[in-house]
Amino acid sequence: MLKRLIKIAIISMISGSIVFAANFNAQAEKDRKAFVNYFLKKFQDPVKNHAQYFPYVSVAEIKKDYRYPLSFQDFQDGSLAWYKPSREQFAELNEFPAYSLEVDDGEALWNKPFANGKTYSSCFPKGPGVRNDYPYFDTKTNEVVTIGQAVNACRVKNGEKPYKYGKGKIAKVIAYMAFKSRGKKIHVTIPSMAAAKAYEHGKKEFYKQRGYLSLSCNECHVKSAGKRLRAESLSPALGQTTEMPVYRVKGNGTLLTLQARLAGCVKGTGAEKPKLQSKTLRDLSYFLTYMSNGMKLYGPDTRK
Amino acid sequence: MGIKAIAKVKHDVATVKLLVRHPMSSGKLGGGKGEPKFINHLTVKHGGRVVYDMYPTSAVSKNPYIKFAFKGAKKGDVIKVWWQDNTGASEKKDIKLK
Amino acid sequence: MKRRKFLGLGFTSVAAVATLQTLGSASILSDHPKAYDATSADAALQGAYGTTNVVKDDKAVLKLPDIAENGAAVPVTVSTSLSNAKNMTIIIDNNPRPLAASWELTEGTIPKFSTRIKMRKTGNVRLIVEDANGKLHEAVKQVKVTVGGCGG
Repeated sequence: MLKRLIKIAIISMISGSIVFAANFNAQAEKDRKAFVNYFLKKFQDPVKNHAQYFPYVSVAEIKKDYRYPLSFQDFQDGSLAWYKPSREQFAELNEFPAYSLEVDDGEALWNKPFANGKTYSSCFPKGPGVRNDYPYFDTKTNEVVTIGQAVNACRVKNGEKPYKYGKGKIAKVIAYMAFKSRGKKIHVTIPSMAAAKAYEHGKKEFYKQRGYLSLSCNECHVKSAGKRLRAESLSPALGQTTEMPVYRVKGNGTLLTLQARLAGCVKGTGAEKPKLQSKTLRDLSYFLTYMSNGMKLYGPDTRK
Repeated sequence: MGIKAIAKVKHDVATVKLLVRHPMSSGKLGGGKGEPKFINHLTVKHGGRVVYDMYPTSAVSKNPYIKFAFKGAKKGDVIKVWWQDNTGASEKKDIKLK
Repeated sequence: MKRRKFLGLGFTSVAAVATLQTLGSASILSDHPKAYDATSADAALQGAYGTTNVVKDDKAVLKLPDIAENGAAVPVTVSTSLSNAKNMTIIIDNNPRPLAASWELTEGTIPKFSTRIKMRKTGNVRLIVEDANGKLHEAVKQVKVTVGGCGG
């Protein structure tokens, strides 16, 4: 009995300190669990909850073409997670994916020394496989830092001009880093009050209605996830950041970063395009990535 | 421009997958701008014999993906990939079968 | 060994350096570069083979998705069960230039090839296989090409 009491006392002392540090993410954890449960429930049995969540598809089509139930990790595949014909086609496109050329380019850029002789390894001592460490909240500057910013910070620190954000060389370098980070789990933390504020701001941006159609991220990627919008299947917000940077096949194929994708989607809904690396997009990516904590990365990937 | 390959031999059949870096642009022929630039002949040779002989047009997608298989191959054999485009550019690469 | 005469496609469309590699008898396309410039499927067929007489049977096998995820890269696999077939050609009916690609078949090569093609819009894709006797076998498949909805 006494041994047990001592054990409990020691455990609560240790966990007490952990709980104190984890206090800042208490609300985020509540949000995240609700988020994950919503999606798991939705895609558990599309036949059973057909009327509620999949009204525009026939039960016959679901039985023939849908894959369910979806596991947590399945959400890494986005809108390809449940629709079998699309999965098959993308599997064929991925037999020798076009993004492998982008990753090769990124590797070459990563290994090329700056004018001062140093390489990216000097800023990323753990190597390129650190995609899952981003975005993170920098408690010194009190800002969310994205992987693109980290890459450019390294360039500037070593006397090089920063890359333009969104696509091109920066996307290639990040693609190489993502490729090296495959299988690593997302582990965003909220280490301070300021970080919690940034998280809440990101959450607000996610639920905010914008543009002349008054659409929010939530409207399409939570409430309508799984439904079709013209010829597109709406991807679930859960797992949305795992395939970044994404190689979009549309229009002859472009590699895009998360920042570019977020900005492009907002513009696509008829709202004003936010600036890449703005506080809005950085905090939004912080919130969005946090929601997928625990999911393994699989980037880059080929998508529509 | 770059030729990537995955080439494996099982029994005596070699399965070759190629990803060739090339714009395969239709240019103004496809309603776009500029002169068309696309691979119009691609061959693969094994032991001096042609084992793949393709005549693409600009209707083949950018960075063409190619998959084929041929008999009579052994691990360690070398195949020679060569392509030429409509502007006269060309590239070749030797690939070892695994 | 049969040697081929080479004259690449598109040389007639673009003023560029023409390389002539004498290797022997020609491919249907290298012999008939006009086929490339044809703007209708029938004209392409006529230009490449000198006839539009084809037999629709199971000797030509064409694998394509029902709905293309993206018209710029549609995965396709062509094959034939015929031994000693001479060549295979893909024609995409609704492309500005329907003649898409051609293969000369060689002994020892399994007559099954995969690649990715561009389709401008919904329509038929045909595979033409010329057998050892010069007869043409055809397979046709309709592929729906959608335009992306969300964009961005």
